[in-house]
Amino acid sequence: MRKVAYAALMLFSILVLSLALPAAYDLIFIKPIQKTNLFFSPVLKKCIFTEQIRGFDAKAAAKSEGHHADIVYKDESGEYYDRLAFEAYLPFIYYRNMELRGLLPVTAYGQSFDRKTIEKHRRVLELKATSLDSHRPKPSCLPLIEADPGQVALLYPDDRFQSTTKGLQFINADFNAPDEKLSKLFTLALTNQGFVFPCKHIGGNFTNFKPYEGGIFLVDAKGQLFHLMRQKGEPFCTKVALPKGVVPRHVLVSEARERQWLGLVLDTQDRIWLLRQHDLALIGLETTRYRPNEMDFKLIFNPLFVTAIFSDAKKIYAQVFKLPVKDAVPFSIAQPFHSFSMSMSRSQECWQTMVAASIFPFVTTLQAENTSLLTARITSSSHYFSLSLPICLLLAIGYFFYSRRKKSPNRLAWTQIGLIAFCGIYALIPILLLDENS
Amino acid sequence: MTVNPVSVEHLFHSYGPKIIYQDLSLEFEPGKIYGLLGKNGVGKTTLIKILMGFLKPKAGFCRIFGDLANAISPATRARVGLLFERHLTYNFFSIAQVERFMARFYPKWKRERYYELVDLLGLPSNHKISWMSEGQRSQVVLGLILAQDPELLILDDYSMGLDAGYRRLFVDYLREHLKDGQHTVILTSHVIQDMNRFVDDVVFLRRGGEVTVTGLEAFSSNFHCFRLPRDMVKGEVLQSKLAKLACQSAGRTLEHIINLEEHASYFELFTFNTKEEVLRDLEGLGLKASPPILTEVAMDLEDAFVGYTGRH
Amino acid sequence: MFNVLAAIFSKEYVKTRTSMLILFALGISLAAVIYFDLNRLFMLDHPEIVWYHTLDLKQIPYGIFKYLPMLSATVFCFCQFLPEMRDERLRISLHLPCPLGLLLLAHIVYGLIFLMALMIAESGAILIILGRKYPLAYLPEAFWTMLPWCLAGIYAYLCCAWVLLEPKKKTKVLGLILGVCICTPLFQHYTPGAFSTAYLPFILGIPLLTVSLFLPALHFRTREVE
Repeated sequence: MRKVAYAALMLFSILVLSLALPAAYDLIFIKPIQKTNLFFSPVLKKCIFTEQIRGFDAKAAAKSEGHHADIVYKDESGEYYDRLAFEAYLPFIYYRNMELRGLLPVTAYGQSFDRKTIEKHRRVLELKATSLDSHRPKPSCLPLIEADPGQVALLYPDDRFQSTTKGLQFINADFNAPDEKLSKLFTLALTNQGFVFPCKHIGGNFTNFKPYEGGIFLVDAKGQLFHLMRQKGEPFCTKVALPKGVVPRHVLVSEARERQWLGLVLDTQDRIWLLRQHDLALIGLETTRYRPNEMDFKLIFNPLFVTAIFSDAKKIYAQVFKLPVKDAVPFSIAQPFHSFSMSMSRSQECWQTMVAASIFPFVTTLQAENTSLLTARITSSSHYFSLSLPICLLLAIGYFFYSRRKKSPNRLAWTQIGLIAFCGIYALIPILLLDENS
Repeated sequence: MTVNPVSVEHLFHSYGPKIIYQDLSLEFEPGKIYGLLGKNGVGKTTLIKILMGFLKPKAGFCRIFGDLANAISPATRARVGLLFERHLTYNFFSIAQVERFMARFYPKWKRERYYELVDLLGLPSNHKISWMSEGQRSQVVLGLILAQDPELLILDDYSMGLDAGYRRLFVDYLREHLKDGQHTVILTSHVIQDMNRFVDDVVFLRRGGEVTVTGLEAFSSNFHCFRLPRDMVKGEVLQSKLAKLACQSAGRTLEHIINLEEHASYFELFTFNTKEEVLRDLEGLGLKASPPILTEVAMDLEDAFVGYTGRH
Repeated sequence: MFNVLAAIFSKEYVKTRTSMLILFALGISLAAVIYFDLNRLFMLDHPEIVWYHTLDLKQIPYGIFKYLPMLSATVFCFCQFLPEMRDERLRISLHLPCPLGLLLLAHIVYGLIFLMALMIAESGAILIILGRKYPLAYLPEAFWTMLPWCLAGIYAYLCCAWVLLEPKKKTKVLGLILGVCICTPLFQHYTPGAFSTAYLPFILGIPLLTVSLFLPALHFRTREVE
C-alpha cells in the first residue's frame, strides 16, 4: 500500500508541477510578444512589418524613439525604418496620420487616393482559429436580428434560436419558453429551400452594433449553404450556389457600408472564398499554406489590393491579391501576385526560453493560442537532448550523492534517481520534500 | 512456545544528541502487571509510545505478540488496549455513542462491563463526553477498555488529572478485572502509592537508558534507607565529600550505595545492601564510627522510589 | 469492510454534523442570493438584453459561487481533521483493529461524499435558478463553468487533509504546494464552457491524490522523530 501511495503521489506531483512550474516561470520571466503586424506597402511594392522583439537590435534602436527600442519597423528585404517612414509607406492604414501631416491625397500605382476613397474601400475581415466551431464551446442559442426594424438602429430581438435535429427552435426571452409558431415558420422556410437538418454550422454577425443586418448563413447536413434573413418578422431564405465539391466549414459575416463583400467562407479544404453581397457569389482566393486549425487569418482590403495575412504561433505569411472586380465571375479563384513569409520575433529564443527548455524536460499545458477549448497536452522540451536531459542527469547524480550521505542508496533511492533522470525538477521537488528515505 | 506479549530488543533512541536508550532490552511476561517508573525525562512516555507503535525507534525492535510494534497487524491490535495520556477519547461522542462506535470493531465486546462502570456516573446515555470532568471521562475510557477485554493493556499515565477518589475507583476496577491473571498490563503513573495495590513488577528507567526490573515486593523488602546524623560526620573534608556525592544523580554513588541525599541535620543513604556494607563504603571515605550511628528508616513505596531515583 | 465504513461514517457524522449543517445553510443562502440577484437583473433590464450580456458577452451571473466550493471544502476539512489532530486523537482510530488504508479511506471517502453532495446540491440549485430565466441550452455552459470550481474544492479538501495529517513540516509544505498548483489553473478565467474538453485529467487526479494520503497517515502512525 505504501508503494502504491508513493507511486500515486509521484505521478500526481510530476503532472501538477509540470503544469504549474512552467506557467509560473513564464509569468515571471517571459515577456509576452504579440504577433507581428505584416502589411503590403503600395508605395514600396513589398511587404513591410512591425514587431516587438526580445533582446536588443542596434539598427532598430537607432531608428527608435528612445524608450521604444524594442519595436522594429522593417521590410521584407531587411531594411529598417523609423515609425514615421513606416506609416508613410502604409498610407491606406495610417491615412488619418497622413492627413494630419498634410500628406493626403496619396499616389500609388498611378492613382490618387483621398481620405474618402480610402475609407470607402478600407476593411478588415478576421477569422481567428479560436472562432472555428471545433475550437470553441458551442454557442447555446443565437439571435436572428430583424433586418427591417423600421428605424436606423438595429434592435436586439426578443427571442433567440437554436438548431435542433428537427429544425430551428425559437425561444422567447420574455417567457423563457419555445415560440412554436416562429420555430415552425423559419424551419419551413429553410426546408422549403431544400435544407436538411441537423445544421452543421451557423455563421453570422450576432450583434446590433453594425450599420444593417445582413442575415445569417447555415450549412445543412449535406453541406449545402443557405442564407436566412428576418424581414418584418418573416423569413427569407436563399440557397447559395457553391462550386462543385466545395463544402463550407465556416462562414464569417461582416456588414460594411460599401455593401460589396458580405464576408468570407472557409471550406473544408482550407480555401477562402469572398462572399459577394448583391448575389452571394463566391470568389476564391488561392491561399496556399493556410491551415485554419492552427492559424489566424486576416484579409485587409484597401482601394488597390486585398492582402491575406495568416499566422500560426511562430510563422506569418502574406499573400497579396488584386482587388477582385465587382462583377468577377462566380467561383473564379484569384491568384496572389506577391507572397512573403517570415518567422516572427516571438519564435526566436532568448536566454529565458533556453533556461526554461533546460530545466523543464516537458511541459503540460491546458490552453493553446489556436483554440479557446482547454485540452491537456504534454510537450517535450524543444532542446530535450541537448539541454534538458543533461540537466536531469546532473540532478539525478546530485541526488545520488545526497542520498549516499544519508544512507546507502536502497531500491527506493534508485527508483527516485531514475525518476529524477526522466522528470528532472518535477520529481526532485516532491522527493526532497517527502523524504521517504530517511 | 508462548510468545511474550511485549519484548524490547536492543532499543536505541535519542532526541538529537541526548541519548534516551542505548541497547535497552526487556521482556514482559504474560499475566503480570508492570509499573514503568522513572523521573521526568528518562523516557517513560517515549517507551510507551514505542510500545504503542506510534513512535519508531532509531534502532532496535519492539514486538507486541510477535508483531513489530510499528507494523502491528489488525488482529494483534484487537488484543491490545491502549489508554492514552489524559484519558483521550472522542469528546464529541455521547456515552452511548462511543460504546456503539467501539463495539463495532471488537467481536468479543462486553457491553455490560462498560455500562457497569459508566452507570455509576449517574448520567444519561446521551450525555456528551466533552461535558464531563477528567475523572468522569476516565471512567468512560476505562469502561471501554474493560469492554474490549484485551490481553495486553498499555496505560500511559492513567492517574493524570484524577483525584484520589477516581484514582481509587480506577485502580479497584482494574484490579478486579485483572485478578484472573490472564492479562498483561504495562502502566506509567506519577502516583507511586497506587502501585502497591496491584503492580507485580516494577521497571525502573534511569537517565542514559539504565533499567532495573524487579518484583515490587522484592524491591520493597530489599531496598533500604539508612540515616546518618550530620553531627556524626566529623571533619570538613568528609562533609564536603558527602555533600558532593549527594549532588550526583542517583546510580551507584558508591559501591554499595545507590543514592545519597543531603538534609539539614542528616544524610540519607539508599541501598540494596546491608548496613555493614554501607558502613564499609563510608569508612572508605574516611568516616570512623561504630554501627549504631546508621539507623534504618522505614519507607513506603514512594519513599523507596524517590530514594532509588533521586530527588533531582 | 462494510462494518468499518459504517462505523467511521457514523463517527464522522457525529463529529461534523454541525459544520455540515452550517455549510449546507451557507450554500442555500448563496443560492438564494443568486436567485434574488438574477431576479433583480431581469427587473432592471429587458430579458433579451440580460441574455445578451450573459450569452454573448459571457458575463457570469453566478460568479459569487466561484470560491465557495474551495472555502467550504477547506472549512470542512478543518472541522473533520483538526479534532483528530488535537492531542493526536487520531491515534484512537489508528489503533482500531482494521487496516490503516481502509481506515483512512473511510475518513476521506466520507468527506468526499459530503462535499460532492454539497456541490451537487449547490450547483444543482444554481442551474435550476438559471433554468427559470435562461434557455435550457445555456445550462450545459453554466455546468462546465462551475465544474472547475467544484474540482478546486475537492482538491482543496484533499490537500488540506494532507497538510493536517502529515507530521513532518517540510512534507506539509508539499501538500500546500500541490494544492496551490492544482487549484490555480482551475480558477483561471476561461471562455465559459471551455472546460468541457479538459475535465477528465482533473477528475483522474482525484483518486491519485486520495491514494497518496496513505503516506501522511502512515507518517502520523509511525513517526521517527517527534
